[in-house]
Amino acid sequence: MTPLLSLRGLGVRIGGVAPVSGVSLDVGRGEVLGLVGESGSGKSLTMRAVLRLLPPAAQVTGQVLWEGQDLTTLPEGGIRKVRGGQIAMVFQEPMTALNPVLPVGLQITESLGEHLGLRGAAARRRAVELLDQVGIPDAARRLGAYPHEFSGGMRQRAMIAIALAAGPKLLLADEPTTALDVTIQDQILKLLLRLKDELDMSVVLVTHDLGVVAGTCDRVAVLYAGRVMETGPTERLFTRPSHAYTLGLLHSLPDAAQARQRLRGIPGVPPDPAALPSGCRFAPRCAYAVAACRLEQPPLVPVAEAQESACLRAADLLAAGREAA
Amino acid sequence: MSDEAVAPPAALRPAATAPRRKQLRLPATGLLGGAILLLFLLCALAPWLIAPYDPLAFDYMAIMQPPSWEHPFGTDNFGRDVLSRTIWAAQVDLQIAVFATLFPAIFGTLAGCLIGYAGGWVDALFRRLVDVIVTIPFVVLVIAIVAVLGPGLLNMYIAISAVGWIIYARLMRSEIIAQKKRDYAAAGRVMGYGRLRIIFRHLLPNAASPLLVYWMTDMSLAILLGSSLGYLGLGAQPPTAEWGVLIADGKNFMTTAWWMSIFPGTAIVLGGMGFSLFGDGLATWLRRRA
Repeated sequence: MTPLLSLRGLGVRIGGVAPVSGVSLDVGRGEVLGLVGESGSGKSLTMRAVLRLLPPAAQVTGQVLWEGQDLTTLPEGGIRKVRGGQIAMVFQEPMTALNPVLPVGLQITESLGEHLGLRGAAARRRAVELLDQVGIPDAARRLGAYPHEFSGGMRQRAMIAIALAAGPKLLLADEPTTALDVTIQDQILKLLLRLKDELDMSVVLVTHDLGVVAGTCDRVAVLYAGRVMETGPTERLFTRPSHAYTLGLLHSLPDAAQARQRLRGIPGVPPDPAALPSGCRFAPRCAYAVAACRLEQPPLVPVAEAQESACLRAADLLAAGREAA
Repeated sequence: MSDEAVAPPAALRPAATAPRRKQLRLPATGLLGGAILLLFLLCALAPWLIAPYDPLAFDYMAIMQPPSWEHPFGTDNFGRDVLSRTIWAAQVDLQIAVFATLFPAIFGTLAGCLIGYAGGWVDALFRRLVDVIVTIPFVVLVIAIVAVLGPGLLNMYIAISAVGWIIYARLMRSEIIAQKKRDYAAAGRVMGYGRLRIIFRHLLPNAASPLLVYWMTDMSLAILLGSSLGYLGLGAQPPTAEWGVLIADGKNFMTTAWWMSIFPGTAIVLGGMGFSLFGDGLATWLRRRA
């Protein structure tokens, strides 16, 4: 079966720098894919490139195949039908992503009208259903409320309701819980998972929180300096990382079993996209790097069932992991 | 409590706490401005009810009478009642305030929205145009255009509109540029909405409050400009009662009949103040509400 969304060698070039290059990813039907990486690793840019929401100065290379159709060459009218209608997006900041001067209900019915042609009382009824579905109590009365009357969690729920109004097949969630309290985070993630099942959607969850990934995603793609370092099933990646960077990320998590231990962070900082190192982009910070790592960029190759890694030392890492286990 | 005395009746009062209600009310200066405007609006809508005399009727038995109980603002050199003329003039001057700003506000807003959203070379072109136009003083430019078209109210409107929209466009352009970078604008694009829908449904309502406030201020400027042009004989033509025209009529008699110019002049000042105060109050109110 063809994947719902398939990125083929996606690159973004802005001015002289390429913050995203050669990203290949698949999102299957009904799947939750986690897109993990540090700030500036190109997670959000990749998502925006999918919907062609980048500034005009940005050049996109490669292909974005949506059900087999390349979105990068679609005319403006065509991409607008995809946006919102088939692929929806939820942003990090629910405080600013809602229009402050329009009532929430109106922002939902607007999407219903635009994509489904639903207007008037029918649209109102559907909007109440949607608000109800995302867990906003007393939905009918809340239609006329303005975003500032909602709490952060409620706004994110409203945002999700707007995004889901047109019944998209894929939801791109760009750090949807980063701006929220931990308890609310959990509620929103559970909501997303429930809606994914109820509405038969796929979700791409962009985050830098590995804990969130572990709890929600079926599969993970790890991004570093604009390239995919490793992809694989969540369970597999957390127990048998095959890339030195993934291993570094896992090590830098606090471990409840070893409380009060010094955290093992990754030394150094991500490279400046204007001055990328030759060879593997992680090599300068990598404890496992060998001379060959600095010569050329390792390609993403299968290392195990459904697991791909762009690390020359993948085999060693896997072997070491097996010994430790 | 004195606050309660001015609060709306209980039935109209929203179920909110007292400080919030206070916040949502127009500030006192704004209310004063509103009251002045209301008074002038009343004069403009039904001058025949308020004015004691016919503004155009000559009375040769009472020429250049000083203010008295019979003629509170005195009479002019034809024996016309200055109070009645000042009241009737409100009609012309409020009309100037509205008509001289309506087209610039609407057209300037449309242009500013589109230019601000488009950016790029459209914006660069517009900025050059603004640079050129602001080098010429506004009044001088308007007078030049009126001089070409010929005096009269309609030509005055055309002249003010031709120049005035630029200021609105500049204001809206910068507002839209600020708004289009906000997340909700991106969210609108993500939802697959078209450009016009995003600009006018989503960005404009967020950018409208400075526009409203400036519009109010501009109306006061329009009254002053209209009066200036009337005074110079380029705007409203005698015998139409217009504040600027009234002042011009009285200027030759300043030493003997000061009331002919002083009272219409006071009306201009009050009118300008009314719009300014109301605009200011509106700005404060919109800021608090946001």
